[in-house]
Amino acid sequence: MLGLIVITVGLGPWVWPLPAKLIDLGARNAGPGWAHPLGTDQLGRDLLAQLLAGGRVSLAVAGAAMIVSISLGTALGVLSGMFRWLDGPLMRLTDLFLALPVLPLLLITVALFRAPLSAALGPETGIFILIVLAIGATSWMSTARILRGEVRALMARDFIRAARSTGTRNGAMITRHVLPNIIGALTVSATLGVASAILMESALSFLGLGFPPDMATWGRLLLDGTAHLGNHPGRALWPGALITATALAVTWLGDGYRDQNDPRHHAR
Amino acid sequence: MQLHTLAFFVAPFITLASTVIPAHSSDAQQGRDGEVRILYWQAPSILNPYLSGGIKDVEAASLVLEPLARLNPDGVMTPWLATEIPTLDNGGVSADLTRITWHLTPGLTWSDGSPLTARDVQFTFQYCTATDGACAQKDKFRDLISVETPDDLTAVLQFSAPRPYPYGPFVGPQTPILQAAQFADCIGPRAPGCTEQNFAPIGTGPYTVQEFRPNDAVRFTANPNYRDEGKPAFGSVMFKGGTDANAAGRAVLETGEFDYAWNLQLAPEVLDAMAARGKGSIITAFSTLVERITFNMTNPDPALGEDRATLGEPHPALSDLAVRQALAMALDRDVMTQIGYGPTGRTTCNIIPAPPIYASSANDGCAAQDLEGARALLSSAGWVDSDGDGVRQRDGTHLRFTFQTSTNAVRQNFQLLAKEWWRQIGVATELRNIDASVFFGSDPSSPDTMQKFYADIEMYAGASDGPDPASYLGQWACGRAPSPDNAWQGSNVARFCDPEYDTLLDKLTQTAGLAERAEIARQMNDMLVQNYVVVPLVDRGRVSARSNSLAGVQINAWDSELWNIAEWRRVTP
Amino acid sequence: MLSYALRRLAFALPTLLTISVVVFALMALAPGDPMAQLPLTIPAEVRAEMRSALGLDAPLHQRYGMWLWQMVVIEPRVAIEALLGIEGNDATRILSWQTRGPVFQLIAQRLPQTLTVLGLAYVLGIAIALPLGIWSAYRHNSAFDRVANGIALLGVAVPPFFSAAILIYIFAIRLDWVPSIYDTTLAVTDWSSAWAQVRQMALPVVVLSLQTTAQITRYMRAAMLDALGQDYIRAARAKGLSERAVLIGQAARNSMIPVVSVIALGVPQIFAGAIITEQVFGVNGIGQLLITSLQANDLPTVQTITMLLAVLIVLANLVADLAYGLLDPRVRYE
Repeated sequence: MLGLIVITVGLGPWVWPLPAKLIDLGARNAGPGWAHPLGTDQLGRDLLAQLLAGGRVSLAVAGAAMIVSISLGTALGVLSGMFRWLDGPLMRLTDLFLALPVLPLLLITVALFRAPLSAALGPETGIFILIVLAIGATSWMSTARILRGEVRALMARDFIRAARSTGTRNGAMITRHVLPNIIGALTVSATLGVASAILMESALSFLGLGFPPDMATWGRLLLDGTAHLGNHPGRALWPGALITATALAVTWLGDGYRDQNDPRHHAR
Repeated sequence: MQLHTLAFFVAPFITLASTVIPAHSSDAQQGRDGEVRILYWQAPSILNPYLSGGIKDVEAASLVLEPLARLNPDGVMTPWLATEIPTLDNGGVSADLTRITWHLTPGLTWSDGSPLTARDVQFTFQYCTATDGACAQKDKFRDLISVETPDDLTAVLQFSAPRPYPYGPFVGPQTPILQAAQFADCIGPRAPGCTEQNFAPIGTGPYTVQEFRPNDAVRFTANPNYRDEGKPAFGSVMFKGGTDANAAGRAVLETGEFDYAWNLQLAPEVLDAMAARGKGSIITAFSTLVERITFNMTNPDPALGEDRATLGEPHPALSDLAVRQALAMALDRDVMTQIGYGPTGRTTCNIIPAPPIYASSANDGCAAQDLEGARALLSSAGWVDSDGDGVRQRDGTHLRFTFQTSTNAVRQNFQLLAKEWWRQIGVATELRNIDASVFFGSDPSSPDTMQKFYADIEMYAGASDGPDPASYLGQWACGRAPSPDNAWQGSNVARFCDPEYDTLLDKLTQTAGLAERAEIARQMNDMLVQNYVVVPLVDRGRVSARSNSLAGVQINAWDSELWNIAEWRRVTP
Repeated sequence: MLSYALRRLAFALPTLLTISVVVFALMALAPGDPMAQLPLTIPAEVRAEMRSALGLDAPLHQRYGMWLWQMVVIEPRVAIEALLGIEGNDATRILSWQTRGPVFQLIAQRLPQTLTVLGLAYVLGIAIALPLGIWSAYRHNSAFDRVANGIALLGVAVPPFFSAAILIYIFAIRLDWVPSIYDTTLAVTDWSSAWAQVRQMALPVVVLSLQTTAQITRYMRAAMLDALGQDYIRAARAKGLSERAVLIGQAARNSMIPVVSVIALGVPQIFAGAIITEQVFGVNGIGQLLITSLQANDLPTVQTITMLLAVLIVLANLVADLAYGLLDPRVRYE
């Protein structure tokens, strides 16, 4: 299902050729039909085209935010797992970030810096970068903690000791021995990160702090659509269902992967 | 003359009332209709309009605090705590236009039973003009130097300069009378700290504050000392704040949980669908709130450094009248109104659309879209697409503009529409939207404020403060153009500069007669509109909803929407 | 253990101080004007005067110092004096820019709504989640497990504003069973007002507890699966203990340890995470106060609430750690 969503959204213009921003004043608020399979909005923009375009933005935000948070989390987790002297300070830093109230802080950052960033980089890129960084920078902590534990357990294993005794350098140690062995935990963290980033982006959009109204994302479409639940329910149901389905599929994927790779879960 | 009209209107009511009251005398008890539930999706933060100025706060306070005179739904002044409106004719305004004398209605009391006196009027003046008081309504008291109280019921306001329209202070919900006894210790820097007073002011109005939860809800109960026997019909008011316009509309129109919901800025088709449930109706009122496009007459090019967007640097393209006119002609204002506001907006060609006497008829017909005409106009002015990139140019200047506004769904729709139409006449537009708290903020260090106008075109809504347009029209005076010298704080955001306009403005501030004032105001309106300094788009109404079981509501765009809540009553629909 | 707790507390202070500096700097340095919401008819000079009355003219470090002093010294003193019934002196408390009232008074007004709705949802969520998690781990891979797991996944994946909008539309608007807007002034005095309270709480509690249930079920199930695979379970079974005793007495008891810390850590998040639910239903609690203050650039209120949330999070962490130690004697504190 996830594959289907990603492929459809990725191939958007080939699947459905209508441009998302095309205004057709003759077809305002149209219901589903041949010309517009899911109907149109108040400017006559095609909902299906908007969903595809919005999906590209939402998925790009989620993917990029996940990469930011995984990179941060991996770096901190591996470093503090490998080097005792770094462990204390880095874990205190993690605790500090864990003690931050995330959603309020995210709201503050986005509310406050959207204007200067969008002025500097253009409204779309600016807000994209801001949202990606904000979500990424506030969601790496659990990855760091999990990986630290994994790495510590790894360090006690014989093959690592052996590698160390033959004088393997730290850099080579990380790329050759540590990272390949924690890839499972990393993947689980990454999938869960994508799911939470999708939900976070839609929450920000819902509170009016996401992308500007002329840029369709699933969260934005859902916000605009909720007012029409009575007369055009599809406008809210489609983006809502897509957000849910994507988050569901990604989480399910992560769960499945963990069950497969975690021997403890085979027990009973 | 106004008083005659008023008497004419009041007379039939009196006869009606005298026949009705005996039949229902037992019903004519204060509080007979129980509770009325009002929903403002922006909750009031404070109940002292002198410390806030926000509409939600001013309107919530209007249940308790009252001014000397109010404006009725037609924008006509109506005496409220005063016996009559002072005018030149009745001697209330001095011949040199510097003094106005108000007479309080005898026998009025505060809700605590103590008498209302002219001393309270005088105190309110002192309260708002005290140094370091940070009074939000200070501008209304501009040039007022003293308030004298020759007797308990007379207040004489002395201005330092002639005021042809002396109804700034104590008229309308922004400047009601405060009780001197309650606020005596809250003058100047102590004003914000008086939480108890600011949250529960004592007033003369139909209700008193029972419980105030800032940014959440207010409970009012009927004022037992209210002047009109048997009013208000509702014994208590539940004034809830929070959620959003959509939920507010549904709570009145679809579920009937509330009796009245304020400011329902929703898509027209959403409102129609709600109203179709038949539990309530949508009510609208219009005043002078006009959504407009403003052109920058100066050059916002960053390369100009210090001189960017200042009067010395005219705009390379927009200083050409033909360009501005063509951009205006390309807009289909009817479609914009229909999409953005539906029944709650009216296409307008005037920056002053009301009251009728001030509304010019010289611009009628502006609303028709004329793409062909716009193209021809540009071509004849020498703007042609010589390099075939779809954008017209002249002498190396391309018609490429930046169009900015605040972040708001309707405005972004308007931006997209304008961009599309302008594309069709060979003009390229880059759209920007800026967070409202920055765009409407006045931080001189931010490059994105409305006043700084570092763009070519911008869109916002503005209104006249009250029916007299003098101070509103004064916004376009040449000297009020924002610039680094005044920390970008001027109101003339278009940087329109015309000595003829300034002369008319001077004339307006010295003319007293209503007809003559209106004549000048219409002339000034026409200058702004016909020079395409501003392009008025939509006259935006106030839109609220009331339940079908609520009678007596008269929505008012000139005063508080709740101005006549004492007359509200319950009926069976 | 006591010294461990003290050491953790000692570390918490610099953490909180750092957070307060970060939040203050974020808010103070950002553009945005507390006067931006005023009508355009109020001229610039008046706005400037109002701004300076809020203390916005003072240098940054002075404003921060003032806030910190009020937060740490004046507010606790006011609270103690109020408790002891001493007549308040004239100390300047932290005043909200938007309402001009003391921020702590606002918070005190909002706390009951947040606590009743969110607290109930949390307790309800836990009460459902624990047995659900235990049973689906016990019946691992059964139909029950799959359904429960599916529901839990759904609870994590549905954005709360989406489920809230749909529930409001169905139950409040179409069926008219419950009100769509929460009345914060409703006082429960008799059966009918109690019933009204239950009805208005129903939807927000359902939306919130769906999320809590989903998360905690997932943790409980994982911890239970872990425990059921351990040797002591086999030993207990071999001893001939009944399944019930094995399940409740041994496995569940041991798997509660990580779950309790998850529950403790979740407490502060319910305050912060309910912003959306509060906004949608008009439950004007702490979250709604935060978002409206943020929109109005009301710095003192935002700063104070964020700070209190941070304190709560630090405390919850501490409680979680200590609970771990109490429940599991194997945990040793370094």
